[in-house]
Parts: sequence; C-alpha cells; structure tokens
Amino acid sequence: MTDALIQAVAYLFTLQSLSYLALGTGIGLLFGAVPGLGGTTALALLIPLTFGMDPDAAIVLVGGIMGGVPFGGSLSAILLNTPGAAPNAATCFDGYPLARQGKAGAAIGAAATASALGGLIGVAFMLAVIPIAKAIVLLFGPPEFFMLAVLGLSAIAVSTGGKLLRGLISGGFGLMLAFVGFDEVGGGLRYTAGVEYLWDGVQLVPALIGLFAIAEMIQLSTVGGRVAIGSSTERLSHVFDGVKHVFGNLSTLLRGSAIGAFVGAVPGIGGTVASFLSYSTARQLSKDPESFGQGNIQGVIASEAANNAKDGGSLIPTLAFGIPGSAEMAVFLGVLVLHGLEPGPRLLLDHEDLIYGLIMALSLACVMASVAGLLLARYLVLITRTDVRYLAPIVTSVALIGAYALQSNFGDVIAAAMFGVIGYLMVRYDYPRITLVIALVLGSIAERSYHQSLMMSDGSYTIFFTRPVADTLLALIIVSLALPALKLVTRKLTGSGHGH
Amino acid sequence: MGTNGLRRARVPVLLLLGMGGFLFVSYGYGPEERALPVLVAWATIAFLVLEILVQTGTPIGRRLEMLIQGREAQFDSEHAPIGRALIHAVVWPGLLVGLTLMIGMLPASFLYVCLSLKVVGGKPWPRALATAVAVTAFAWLLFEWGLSYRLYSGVLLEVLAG
Repeated sequence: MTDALIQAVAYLFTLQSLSYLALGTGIGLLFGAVPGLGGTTALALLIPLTFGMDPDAAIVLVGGIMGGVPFGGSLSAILLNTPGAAPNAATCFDGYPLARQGKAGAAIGAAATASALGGLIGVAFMLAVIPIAKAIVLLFGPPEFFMLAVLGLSAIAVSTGGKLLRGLISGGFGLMLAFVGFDEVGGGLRYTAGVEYLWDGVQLVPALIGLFAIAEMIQLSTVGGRVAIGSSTERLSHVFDGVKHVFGNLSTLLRGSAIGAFVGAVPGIGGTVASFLSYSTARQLSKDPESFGQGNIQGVIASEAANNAKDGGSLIPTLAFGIPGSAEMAVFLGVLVLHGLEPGPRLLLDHEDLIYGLIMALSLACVMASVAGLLLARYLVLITRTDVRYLAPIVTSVALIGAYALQSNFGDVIAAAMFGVIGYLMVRYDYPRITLVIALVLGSIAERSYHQSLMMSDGSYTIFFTRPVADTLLALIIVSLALPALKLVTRKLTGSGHGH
Repeated sequence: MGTNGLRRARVPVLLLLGMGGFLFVSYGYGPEERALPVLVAWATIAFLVLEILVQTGTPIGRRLEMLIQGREAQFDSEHAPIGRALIHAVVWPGLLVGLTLMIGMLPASFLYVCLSLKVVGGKPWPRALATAVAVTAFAWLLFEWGLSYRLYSGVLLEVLAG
C-alpha cells in the first residue's frame, strides 16, 4: 500500500499531471456551474478525449473533473439560487438567502472550505472502508432501500421550517410526478396523458432548472431590484469569515461529511439524498432551527460537506464491485473500461497505484477548486449586485438552453418552463420545493424496492419490520416525524416554551 | 371559519381536487401498477384534509397544528395581486418557449433577452442589443462550438429546409 501511495504521489506532482488536474478542475467548475450540464455530462463528453491518453493521465483528468463539479454547482446555487446539479439544490436553501443579505462572499468562503474538507474526509472514509466495504453494502437489500427512501422524505419534510404538513403534501405530489412513465415492475405506461415525452418519466434536471432557476427569476422579476439586498460592498474579509465559520462549526462539517460518504456508498441513492439528508440533520440538531432557510451558514456547510464527501463514498461500490453509485459513477466506469481496467475486487489488487492516483487527484482537485473559488469570490459576488432586469432574461434563456442540452429534447425546455411556473406558485403560496425534489429523486427507488421487497416475502409486509437495518431506519422515520411534537413537549416540561 | 378561512384553504382544496383526480386515474391501472401510487395518494389526501382544517382556523385545526408541527397555526399572509406576477410567470417564459419552438434556441434567446431588457427593463436599445449579442455569443461558444451540441433550430427553419 505504501509503495503504491508513494508512486501515486510521485506521478501526481509532475508538471504534466498537475496540468491535467488543473484542466479537469477548471472543466469541472464550469460544467458544475452551468445548470443542466454537471459531472455526468462533463465525463461523458470527455470520454473520447481520454482515449489517446495513458490510464494514469486519464484518471487524473477525470479526478479533476469529479473534484471540481460539486463546488462549481454550489457557486450558481449561492449566487443565483440555481443549482448546477441536483445535489447542489440543498445549498440554495441557505446560500441564496445569505447572498440576498449581501453575504455571498461568506457563503462562498464557507462552501469552498466545506467542499474541500468534505471531499478530503470522503476520500479518507473511502480508504478506511474499502477493506470492509462488501459487508456494509450487503447490509442493504430492497426493504432497507425502501426505508431509506421514506426516511429521506420524512426527515426532509420535518426540516422545512415548521411546515411539516406542507412538506409532506409537496412530497406526495413529488412522488406522484415520480410515478409518471414506464412502471418499472410491470413495464406498462402510467399517467402520461398520451404525451410521448412523459414515457421516460419526469426528468429531474429540467424540473430542477424550472423549480429553482426559472422560478427564482420570475420571483425576482415581480419585485425588481437586485439579488443582494444587503450591504453594497464585498470585502475579502467576508470570504474568510465564511472559512472561519466552517472551523467554528466542525461538528456540522464532520457530520455532513460522514452522511455524504455513507450515503454516497449506497448504490443508487446518490449525492442529492446525501446533501439533503445532511442539511435536514443539521437543521434538526440545531439550537436555532428556525434560522435555517433564512441564511444560516451551517446549512451551506452541511450540504456542501456531504455533497463533496459523497464522491469518496460512491467510489467504494464503483471500484470494489463495479456497481456505480450514481449516473456520474456509471460514466466513470465507462472511462475505466475504455482504458482496459475492469472494476471489481481485482482492480484494487492489480492496479493499486491507479486507485491511489485517483484518490490523490480527487483530493487535490477539491482543494484546487476551493482555492479558485476563494480567490474569485469577491468578483463572483458582483453577479448578486446586477440589476435583476438584466439577470432574469439572461439566466432564464441560458437555463432553458441548458435544459435542452441535457438530451437534445425540446420537451425538456417545455418541462423546465412549466416547472418554473409551478416553482413560482410554490414560493408564492409557501409550499416547500425541497420535498418535491427529493420525492422526485426517491420515487423510483422507493417503488422498485417496495415491489422487490414484497416479491422476496411473497407479499408479506412483515419484511419491512423484521430486518435489523430496516427496523433501525423505521425507528429513525418515527423519531423524525415525532420530533416537532417531542420538542414541544420538552419545551413545555422545561418551561422554556412560555407563550407558545 | 369565515370568508378568510375559506380563502386560506383554497390552495389545499385545489390540490385535494388534483390528488382526487390522480387517485381516480390510478384505479384504472392494474393492482401492481397502482399499489404504491394509491398508497401515496391516500396519504397525501389525509395531509391535505389536515392542512385544510389548519387553514380554516377551526379549534380542531389549531390543536392539530400544535400536535403535528409543534407550534401554533401560522396562516398564509395575503398575497399581492396575481395579475402582474402572472405576466412575469407565464407570459415571458411562454414567449421564450414559443419563440424557441418557432425560430430555434439561439435566435430566440437573442430576441427574448433584447425584448425583455427593452420592454420590462426599460433599457436603451443599444444596451439591450449588446447584452443580447453577448448572451447569444456565450451560448453559441459554450454549447455549439465548445461542446458540439446541435441546439434546436426551430420549426420555421425545418419547414424552410423542406
């Protein structure tokens, strides 16, 4: 192991490798920041480019991209309430309110630091867990996946700032949308109203672009002004305030990173659930949960740490078993196969130096992307000072082009515009968008694992209650839903709830 | 309950009708296909009924709110007139989608940014044109030149090309 690690470090710190790494990180930042592109697109587009490279160089380039994408997405999430990709959506909830208060620099500083540290912790988690990875992954069968999906939804509904009912209603409608298209069990078409575009279901990225980017631009257009309604100058010290906040909230960072790495390691769950779960956990454990969604920097730290740590986690099933944890990892598998590397336990034994090269590249890319973010923060925040009469048409048109570029389907443009209206109405009537998004992500996982579980048990529902991990998850669901009432009782018992 | 209560409950009532429609359609599918959708629909209907009770401000609704959400009921504040908002929410994005469908993504972006800046933003023509050119150039450079995407070219061009 030591020899392979030294070999990987020696290779990485050559001019050629560092150049590939910087190029990959830059591409990752750009693809991460433009809605509709993201890491999967970046990797898919660059597969042919890596064909002529030797595997080490290709791995370094890919590692750079994977390290740069999450932070790129957080920049647009903070500055424009436009998540570059689905996992960045949770960063919007507090990052954007901070930008509106004129604290975009602090939010970027916190996001950059949490991203870098979260990425490093995720990689450390990967290194530690690889020897026992198989046992952990095998603990999760269909009943556990179903419970995990329900837990994700309930925990996030609870975290919607005293709007549990509305959060659950939004979640219900999100699931309703997730059921549209081919039924994964029977194969029949459902709820498509004869529209061919809906056969493959409601697409997540156009929905996100609409619910966040377009809805926000509509909202801004109705009120005018600028994104930032706080102070009119951004000092570099504000950026470093954000950095300091991360070190002042180490428990949030560590918890978020652990959640990200762990959830990332569960195949099929992905970074969106990781960052949302981390956000909702931070909110629930906070002494001031009401400030979440209003510009609490802990919300940015929690979601960014998880979003970056998940990459280390999702590399575990990808490399160790050839099971991609996400679409991005599936494309990454393609890169490995293209270079003659077969994922699976043998990869870890036969190409140890490559694996450590990837780990080092990923770690360094996280740091490089964050340093670039910190250096550019004071210029990037100028976006928030731009008159929304400029910003709204520009963001709307680029967002719709991004929606189209995803799969060259005009239906995605219409879907994004329609979700823009839905998102605006949800903001206007105070229904949380967060649970709708998470339900859209989890719907197919929940349904597939629900049916698989019942097949395993010959139709008996006891399968959900008789397995230790599923039971633990069920207990967490009950606790999360009962938490508001429990908090009320605690307040009454301690007498601090006077007046409530 | 009163008029205010009824007005506050109009959104959950509309959603309840929508979910009722979803449930009605669901029962048209086979037992396996509708199993989870029906479960979700009934659960959401139950949440909507609770939300209606909360929003109408009845004593039972207030107690429910306290029990479920751990706080006293918070009613929706009155919203600003929706007329102007609808223009921003529907007309302008609708215009962009319509233009895109007809003349393609890049010309539509150019026209949309230019018109929006002039009509909504009240900016002078030179500035509106310059911004529109910059946005279109950025989109072309990134998507068509850099990433080799073929952006949608519109119905009109397809018709003209035969």
